[in-house]
Parts: sequence; C-alpha cells; structure tokens
Amino acid sequence: MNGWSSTAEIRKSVEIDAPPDVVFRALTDEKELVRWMPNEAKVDLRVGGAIRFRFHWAARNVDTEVKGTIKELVPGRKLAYTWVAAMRSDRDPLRMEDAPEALVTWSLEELPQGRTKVTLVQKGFDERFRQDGESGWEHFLGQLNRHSSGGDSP
Amino acid sequence: MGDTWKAVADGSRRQILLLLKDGEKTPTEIARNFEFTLPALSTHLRVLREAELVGERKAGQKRYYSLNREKMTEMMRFFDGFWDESLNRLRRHVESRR
Repeated sequence: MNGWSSTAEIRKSVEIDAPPDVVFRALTDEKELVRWMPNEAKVDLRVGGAIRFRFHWAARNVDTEVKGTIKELVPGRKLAYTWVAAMRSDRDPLRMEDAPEALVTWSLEELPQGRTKVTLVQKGFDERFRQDGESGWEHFLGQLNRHSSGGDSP
Repeated sequence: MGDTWKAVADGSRRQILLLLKDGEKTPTEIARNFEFTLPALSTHLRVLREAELVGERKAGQKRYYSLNREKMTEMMRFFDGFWDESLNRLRRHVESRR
C-alpha cells in the first residue's frame, strides 16, 4: 500500500501467567476493563458493536473519551477495534481528540503451563491522513522515527 | 498553548516540519520548497509555533524557524508510553486475580 509505513505502527507484547480466556475477559468485560485501563467502559461485544472508554488521569491533566467500533472478535483469541478520541478537553495537553483514528488489535496466543502471550498493535489511520501520499501521516511518522532514532528504524 | 495534533493534521504543515528537521530556515528559504504565498506560509508557521512544534529565533532583520525536538518526541512517545503502561496494568490485574 502506498505510504503505508510499518514504522508508524506500535507493537507491544507481554506474557501473562493466566490462560487466554481469562485475559480475554479482562479485555472485554466492562467491570474488568476499568480495573486496568479506562475509568469508565462501555462495550457492545459483537462485530460492529460500539466501544466507549473514558480516561481521566488528574495527575497528568488528561480527561478524554475514546470511541470505536469492534472490527474483529474471536473469543479467547483476538479483538480489534477502531480508536478515536472524541471529547474535547482543554486539560489534555496533547488534545488526543485531534489524533488520527487508529486500529487497535489484541491477539492472544496460548503458551505452555496456562500462560498467554498478549500482543497489542496500534496502526491504521483514517483516510484524511492516509490519502496525501508523501505528505501523509504515516510517511510523516516514519520520517520522524528515522530522524529521532538517528537513521535507523526501531 | 496551541493544538498539537490539529497542527500536524495538515499535510503542508507536516511537510514544513520535515523540511525543518534538516536545520533552521528563514520563511523565504522554506517558501522556496512550496507554492505558498508568504502570508499563507506565515499562517502555517504561526500555527506550528503556537503548538510549540517549532521555535522562532530573530537575528537582525531575519527570523529563523527550527523544529522543537522535545515536543515532537513527546507527541511520538505518547501512545508508546500509554500502551507500555496499559499492558503492565493488564498483566498485574489478571495475575492478581489468580
């Protein structure tokens, strides 16, 4: 894809000492989500269903709301949703609501001894950022990444 | 303080930032790379300056614009740090329930 730079994606993994079903519940259950990620969570758990997270970190001057739509749902294995910060907040130093829409994908891989490898990928930006080729968002992040890491992509 | 994400939502402004990563430039030098009029360029530069993405230095009659690397890095690292922390919290949450 033109302008689709892998350097613009964020990919993180963690190994958790619990089976995939237990981890999946933490990713999808509203009562569990608020224990580790947003302060408020609404999840309509079906493909096409809406998600809504509220983040309020007073210590960091962040108070914002994220909305999205579930794109992929494989119980115990995979969850993907779009992610767009939706609420204007003067207290958010980076004004997340103007960040481009992203696609957040959680993949769970069963490991021996009832453990799970969790991989998080954030990528995919909305059309207005993707369309303009050489001046596109991903090209920009890619260039900047190469710049800030001294010539090498991480 | 201006609006960081909105400032970089514009393709022309992103190109200006990429141009400035090679070093500081005057508006005339920047304009040479684009088809903007100088007034249009000065609007873009004002938006970037208010978002603290570029800095301005005056020397005699000339103004030089440069990239604010700290602010750019802050923007780049925002989500990176967010997901690091979220994954750690997820692990601690799930493991504490066992």
